[in-house]
Amino acid sequence: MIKEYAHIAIVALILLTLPLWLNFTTATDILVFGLYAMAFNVALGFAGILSFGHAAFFGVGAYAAGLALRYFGASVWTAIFWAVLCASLVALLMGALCVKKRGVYFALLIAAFAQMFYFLALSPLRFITGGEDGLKGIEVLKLKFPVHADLGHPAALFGFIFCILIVCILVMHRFVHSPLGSLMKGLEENEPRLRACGYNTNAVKIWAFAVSGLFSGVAGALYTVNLGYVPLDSLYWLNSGTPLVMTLLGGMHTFFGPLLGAGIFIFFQDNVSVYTARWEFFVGALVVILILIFPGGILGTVKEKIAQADEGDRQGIWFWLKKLS
Amino acid sequence: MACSWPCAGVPSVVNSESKMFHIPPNILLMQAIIGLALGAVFVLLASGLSMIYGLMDVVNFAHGVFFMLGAYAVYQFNLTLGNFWVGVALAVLAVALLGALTEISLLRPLYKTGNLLYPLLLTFGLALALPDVVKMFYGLMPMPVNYPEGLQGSLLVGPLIVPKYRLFVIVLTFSVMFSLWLFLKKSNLGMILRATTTDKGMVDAMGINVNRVVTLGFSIGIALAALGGAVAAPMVSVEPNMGVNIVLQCFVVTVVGGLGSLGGAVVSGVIIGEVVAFTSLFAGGYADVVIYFVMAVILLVRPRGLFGELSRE
Amino acid sequence: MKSNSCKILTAVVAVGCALLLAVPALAATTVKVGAILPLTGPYAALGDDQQKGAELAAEMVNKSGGVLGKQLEIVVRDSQLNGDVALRKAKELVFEEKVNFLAGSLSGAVSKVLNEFACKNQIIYMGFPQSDMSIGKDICRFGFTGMVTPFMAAQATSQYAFSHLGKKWFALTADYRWGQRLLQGWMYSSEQHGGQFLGNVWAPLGTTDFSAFLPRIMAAKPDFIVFNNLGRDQSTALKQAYELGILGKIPIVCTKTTVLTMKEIYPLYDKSVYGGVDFYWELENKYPSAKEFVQAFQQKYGRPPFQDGQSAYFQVRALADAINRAGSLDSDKVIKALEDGKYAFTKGEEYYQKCNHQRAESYLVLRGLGKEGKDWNLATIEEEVPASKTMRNCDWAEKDLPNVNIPLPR
Repeated sequence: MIKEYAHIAIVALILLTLPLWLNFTTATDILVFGLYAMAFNVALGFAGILSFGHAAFFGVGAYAAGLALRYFGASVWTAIFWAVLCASLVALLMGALCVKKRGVYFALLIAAFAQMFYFLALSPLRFITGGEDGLKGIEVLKLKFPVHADLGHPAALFGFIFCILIVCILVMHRFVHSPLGSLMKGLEENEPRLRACGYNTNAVKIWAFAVSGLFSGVAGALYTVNLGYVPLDSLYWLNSGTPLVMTLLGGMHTFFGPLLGAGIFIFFQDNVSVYTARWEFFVGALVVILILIFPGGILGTVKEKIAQADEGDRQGIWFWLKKLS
Repeated sequence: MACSWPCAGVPSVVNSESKMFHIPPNILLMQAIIGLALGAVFVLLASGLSMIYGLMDVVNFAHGVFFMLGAYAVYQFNLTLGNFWVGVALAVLAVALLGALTEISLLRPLYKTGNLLYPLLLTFGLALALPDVVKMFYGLMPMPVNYPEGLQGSLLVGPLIVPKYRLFVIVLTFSVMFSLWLFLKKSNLGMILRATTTDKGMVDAMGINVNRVVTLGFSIGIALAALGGAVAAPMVSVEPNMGVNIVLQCFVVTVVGGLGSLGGAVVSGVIIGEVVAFTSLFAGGYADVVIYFVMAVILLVRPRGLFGELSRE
Repeated sequence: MKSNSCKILTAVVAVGCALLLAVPALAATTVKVGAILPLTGPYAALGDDQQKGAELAAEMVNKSGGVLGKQLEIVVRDSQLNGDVALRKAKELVFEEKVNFLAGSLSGAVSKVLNEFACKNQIIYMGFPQSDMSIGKDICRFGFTGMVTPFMAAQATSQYAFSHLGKKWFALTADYRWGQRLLQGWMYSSEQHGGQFLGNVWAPLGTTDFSAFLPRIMAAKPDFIVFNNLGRDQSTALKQAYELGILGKIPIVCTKTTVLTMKEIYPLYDKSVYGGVDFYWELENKYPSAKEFVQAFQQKYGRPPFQDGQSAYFQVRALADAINRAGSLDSDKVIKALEDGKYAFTKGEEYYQKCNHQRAESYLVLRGLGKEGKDWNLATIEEEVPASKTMRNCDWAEKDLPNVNIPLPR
């Protein structure tokens, strides 16, 4: 266990140094999307559930937080609480409704429902949500507890989001290594067998999905805090593809893979687009190459290499990494 | 819709409710024909997608991109050769060939992993990358493709105005679908294709090169998408992102019809086409979302789609 | 195999590091304008035009001495036509790149988001697109609008239509705020000019097939049809109007149009199609400033400028001019200078309305040339409608009248 916490600490340290060699705004974006991707991966990599509708949870979380901030003058913590509540409820409901469908049918059905949320925010509810404009009018945020901070300042914002991210990582980690987490793993590896052992696989699916939705909602709330604004696009179903690509880049069967993938994706999006508007080509090509050569994603491949390193290869970098980890 | 305080002072002409005017029957009929033409493009795309899924269990996210490539190909061939019809034929062939190459070089290596997610994600990567490649060669502005001579304008059939090109698209699509059905049902190769869809292992055990069959099936699916793009080119705007919107609607049509079922794709394409046409007539603002609603209802009530096979669920 | 993939991984890491280090060191001796434009996405061609316009303006400014003796630099970021991406880029530009001013966006919705951000962070924002940021609650002293508002565009084209084409009209409108604003503008104008509104069809943004919407329009038998849409939607609608035999029989008025659409559907954009634009290169025959602008653009980029390049060019030049007159980069001083200034960069003399910083810009009504057009000569200017005939006065602008009072048909 201590080894696992050491890993988390190392990751936390690396994240803290991000602003040094990138900048605060990009680093904060990476934290938010990293959380989103990791939440997504709880469903995909750990429970084997593919969904194209995570934008619903992210978006509902973002709007819940935004509405609380805008109309009820809530504090940031209250806003995040509402985001968690709403997003997990939505995920629970949608999971329960669609649980009997398999594979790609499930994924598309979730996407259809997600798109209906988008439509709700766009049209009937637009007097509350701002419609296509997104939710504006959120004041510059201030943190009152546990410290006083002006969240308009990039460093303070980064620090706040970093702390929330670490808490979420710890909770997700506990969840994934809990008994329910083991059941999820069984679900991913061999569902019929799990059912044969007497477990209610549908319940496991719904719980896994709800947890995934919960943390996606937190990511959405953080997105709102980061921007001071809620874009309608946060609910658009195609944007569910973003955490998918990030997870793929980093490695979907690893815990931190999606976080790494988020870093790479945002880096590409921000930096490559300075040189060429064709950054999507590079990301797409990277996805293709990764699937063909390194299907485990970057982190997954690294882990594989470490696992394979044997005593005889004392010169190899993987051997020494294995010794360290 | 009575209008109270915001309309105070604004004269009645603007204030009055828009009349739910009686829609003449010839308009309704025209709408139905238009729905059929809309459906035709859906049918081409959805049947291709269905076929690929049936054969490979892969949802081809890059389907919209091949649709787009078909449109660009017809633009290019039309430009260099000056003939729209030859352009369409060559476009279909060229893109189908590209599809075959893609399948052999990029998708085939993934089959042995046994994980159905990887090919799907690979097509996703292609869908991201390929439009940018097109932008590199053709730039950002849309490419002009005109209606071919002889099919410009409309026919006047009594009180009906029927666009000639739309009629052509309907006729072409149903001819192609009929030929495809004949091919699958009556020819040897078609039989092998159908067998591969049902039981790959058995076909392999009988000494037939399954890889080649899959490549052929994939190419046919792509050819259908390219044909859809080529015939849609004069009707819509030919630009690199044209595949994005259509792929969404295409998924809906395929899923409603049942992944893996060609007949389902045809029926579903027509139904969805008509649904969109009539929603546009009566409640334009909902034309976009109504298809998601239909998909959700169908999937909840009959999860395998209208004609999908039970085993595929 | 092991060493091969090792090499690949190392290469990837190396490239990544190289990219990072290649970011050039920031020079503190320039005045930076951060421009957020859609370089990817469906309107990338127009975003590209904006970039060209802005960069040409910077070049012209630097040639005549720069800004307060320093070089003017345009730092461009891709908004992907997305409000949240634009906002993230704005944060990066303001907090990391430390730009002195913000500019840009093609979409009115994005411009409102950037406007709010600029006001929260007290930095001047030169808006490029047709936008509502100069209306009602969005008015903020840091924002300056570079193109007409949708209301103004509707007034200009409708005035022409009601005088020349008839009174009965039917509209096809893209169902989002910009389209809705145009329709409201038309309905108000219809009241003023004795028009007869027969109805409206709403088409969702991004509709690829308008054939379902057109029969209803035909059934109503209007004197002319109004298209409240743009870009892909417009070119597709026009193509399909031709297919159904409408184009050519009933005049079509596109409240806002682009030369790109004319080029794309050539030769369908003929004498029966009218369109509104903020700028058309033929103005070079009327205004010396237009001539200078068009020729410089043509020389640098090989084609005449579109309206989006024009507004980008205007906004950057106006800003530079104001900074030089203010003699400082202080926001309050520059804002005052912008408000007081008179500018003739692309047309006749123009100014910003003081209460809402709306550019008092004229709007052109073009008529297609169809087959007779060639290269970029695709239309004729029917009328240039001055701002005095279309712009809302301060009282109305601040209360968002008369748009708020006009109910939209559903």
